[in-house]
Amino acid sequence: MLRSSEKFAVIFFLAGSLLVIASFMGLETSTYLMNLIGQIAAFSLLALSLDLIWGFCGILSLGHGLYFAIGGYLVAMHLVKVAFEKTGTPPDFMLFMGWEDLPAYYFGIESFAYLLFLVILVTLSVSLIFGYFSFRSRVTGVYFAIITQALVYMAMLFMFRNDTGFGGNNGMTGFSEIFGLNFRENKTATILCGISLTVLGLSLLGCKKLVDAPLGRFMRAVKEDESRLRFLGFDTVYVKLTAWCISAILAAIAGLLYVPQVGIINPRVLSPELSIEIAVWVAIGGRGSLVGAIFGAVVVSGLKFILTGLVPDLWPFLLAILVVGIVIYLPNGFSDGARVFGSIARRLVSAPHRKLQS
Amino acid sequence: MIRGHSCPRFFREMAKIILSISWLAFADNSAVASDHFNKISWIEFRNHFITEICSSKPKRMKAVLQELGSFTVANQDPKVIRERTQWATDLISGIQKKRFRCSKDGKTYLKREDKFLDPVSMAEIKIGDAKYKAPFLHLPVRPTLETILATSKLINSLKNPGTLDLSQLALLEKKPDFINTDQMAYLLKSQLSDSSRERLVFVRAFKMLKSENIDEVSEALRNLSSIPSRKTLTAITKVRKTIDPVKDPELIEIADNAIAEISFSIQIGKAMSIVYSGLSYSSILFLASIGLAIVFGLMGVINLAQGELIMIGAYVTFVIQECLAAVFPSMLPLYLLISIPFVFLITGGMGALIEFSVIRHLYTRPLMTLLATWGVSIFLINMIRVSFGTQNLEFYVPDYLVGGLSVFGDFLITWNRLATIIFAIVILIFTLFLVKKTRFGMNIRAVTENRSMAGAIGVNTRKVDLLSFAVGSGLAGLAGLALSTIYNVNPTMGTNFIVDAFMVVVLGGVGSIWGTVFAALLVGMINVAVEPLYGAVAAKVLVMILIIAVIQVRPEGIFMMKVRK
Repeated sequence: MLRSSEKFAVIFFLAGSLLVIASFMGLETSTYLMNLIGQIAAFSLLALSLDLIWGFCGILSLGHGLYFAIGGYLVAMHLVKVAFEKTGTPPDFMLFMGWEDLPAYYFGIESFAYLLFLVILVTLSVSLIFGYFSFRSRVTGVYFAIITQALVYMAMLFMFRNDTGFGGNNGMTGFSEIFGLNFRENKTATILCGISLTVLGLSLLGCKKLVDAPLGRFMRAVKEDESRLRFLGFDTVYVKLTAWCISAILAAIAGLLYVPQVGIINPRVLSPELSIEIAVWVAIGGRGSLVGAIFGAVVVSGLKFILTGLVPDLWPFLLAILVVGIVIYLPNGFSDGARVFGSIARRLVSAPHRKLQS
Repeated sequence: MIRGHSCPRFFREMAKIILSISWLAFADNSAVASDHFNKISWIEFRNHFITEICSSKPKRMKAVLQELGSFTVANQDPKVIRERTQWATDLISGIQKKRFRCSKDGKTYLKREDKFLDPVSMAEIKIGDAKYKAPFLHLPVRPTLETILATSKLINSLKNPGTLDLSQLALLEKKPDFINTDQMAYLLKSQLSDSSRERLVFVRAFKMLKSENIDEVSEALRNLSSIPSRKTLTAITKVRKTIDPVKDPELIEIADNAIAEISFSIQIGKAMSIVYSGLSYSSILFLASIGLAIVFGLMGVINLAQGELIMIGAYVTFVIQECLAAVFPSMLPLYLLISIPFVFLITGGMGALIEFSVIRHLYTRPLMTLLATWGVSIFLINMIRVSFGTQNLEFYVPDYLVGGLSVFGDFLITWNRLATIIFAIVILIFTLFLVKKTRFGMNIRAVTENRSMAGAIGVNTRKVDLLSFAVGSGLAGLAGLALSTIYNVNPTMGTNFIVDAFMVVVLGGVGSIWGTVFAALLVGMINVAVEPLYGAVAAKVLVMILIIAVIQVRPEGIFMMKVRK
């Protein structure tokens, strides 16, 4: 019998592949719905990436938006370059700056393979350098969390500059097509959504394999008692570093999937708030449970989509109460929820029975 | 009767015409004009002046205004000068306020409190039903008009020695190009306080820079080189370009020396002002992070809502300002002082509430505290946003915080920043006293060093946690009060300070007051010094690199406390 994570992975994978195939066969769907599911799938992948290091390795990053944004900005560059090759005019945000041509670092990015290579290269180098120096000096816990937050804040300030060629505060937009599919077509949204679901399924499966592998056991050992592991002669730096880099790459892939679906990326994705929200998804869904993280991302971002439309002023208050309440009363998020609600339900069911006895 | 009345008027008109023709010929030659002051009488000049003004021709108006300035002081008798200046002041302000009007056939009047006066004699007259129009003041005329009026008022104020009208002097400083040199010479001859004399010399020097006379220019250059400001530098640089290096090599040398001297002084002034604003930013950072540092040392948790407590502090200050304005308007200037206890108690109380309701339940799970306090922070931001709106608050700045003391070059010790620095020093002394000299402080140190042992010997560790969290929050609120007159106050202002405050805590070391002071100075200075040159990002990158470098050798901050875990 398949274990729960694997079951979900297979469901996501099958649903995603079916969507892609069906849309090629001419299936008409609601673009809004497909976009919504696709975005939530990207967010779920992001939550999964954070859960991998926080839930299994005990390292909380409040700056995972950085890697999400690396993937997002690189794919936006790819899309801008594709549009530029087609029309010959640079996008609006470059025309504002008076630039006639794309800057040199856009060279070759119209090739999707090169894009993937770049995403992995940039993410790996950032996460390796930052991770190595932090883990080597044994920065952990709260210290590490606020340093990552400062890092993402710094990146946000950088991206807010208008002279970098990344759109500045307006962000990057004006994409025309991806893999030769026009963004105006209904088919595109469905295919992107399908791909996101497929990638989510594959990543979930991969993460499951990873945490069950020897490396996963090391990660959990680091989480439980790092100094004992070190005392036993294991170099924990490399365990943490490997987990950290894998997590960063997953987050970057989430960004890569997210941006084509929303059609814009701006420095807001680098705001410390978004990065904390990722941690909130994981905390609400349950740390240390891969499906839980996805569940948290789906519930919170789904609620956000619905409630910011209906009662925009109320949503932040609800989120605040949800966060504080869950953090205090359900230390393991909704994974605890089942137990707590279960016991309440049991008590309710047995209540008349008890009355009879007394 | 009729004949007798009209005959002198005919002559008067003729005289005016002849005079204006002869004056036009000399209009731009002041040397010749000053000869004329001896030849034509004051009354003739007044008639001539009025004709010229009524012409509404900008060039002629400008010329005659300058002549009026020279004429008023072209006499030996101070009494006469005073009389003439008084007339000039009355008439020019009449022109400015459109109470002086001319008709087409040359009749004029000056209206003063519903009375119509003859502008020349200032005697009351009756006016006919002719059409009177105020002479139109073209844009180029206005600065001359204002400057001559201001100088005349200055001369008027000489009556009582030592009471030079400083507002008029400030007006002259703004438009030195339009002053009348004769009036200025007269002013400088009279008895003045040293500071006003100095200011007048500079005003005159600015004017003299444009002079044709080389001696005057070199004197002006020497005078100006002793006041290093950006304004003087641009003025001298402009003049330097017009000097012919072949004809006046000496002058060029003087100008170059002056430029070098001023640029050097400006650089020093700039460095001083960077240090100064760095100090004031560091003060705010210190206030914001001292509570964080103590609580982090004590409980190992970081309060992500600290920025929002700063914001609440600023909003409490605002509410108290509004209440005072409504109930005791006379107390308004003191609102910052009155707010101190309120802000401290309210934000401290909120801190206690946060500790009691949230953090207490999470003390074994510090990472979860981050999320919970983040929840609190978005709650607070949105509470304020819903009740006050998102716009920046407008704070009343009391007189004693406006302006500052000009020290050197462009460096200005502004009172509001000075107040912030002093306030931070007072709080530093208060915190040092609290932590090092009181029983409560001893408990804080004991719990920080070894929580279970402190508990074992009877320290109520929960109470120490609660109280120190409240004090830390109160201090953050005071940071909000201190920055309310310097920075923008809006619901999301907290995020601007919070990341820097975290950096201070990480860099300074856990629970160390001097570490926090040191790190606040370092982070504040780096931010203020690097930001104008390379942008905010470079400053943050530098701080970040510094932090990563420091934690390689001292993972718990520069001033880490020896703590048993």
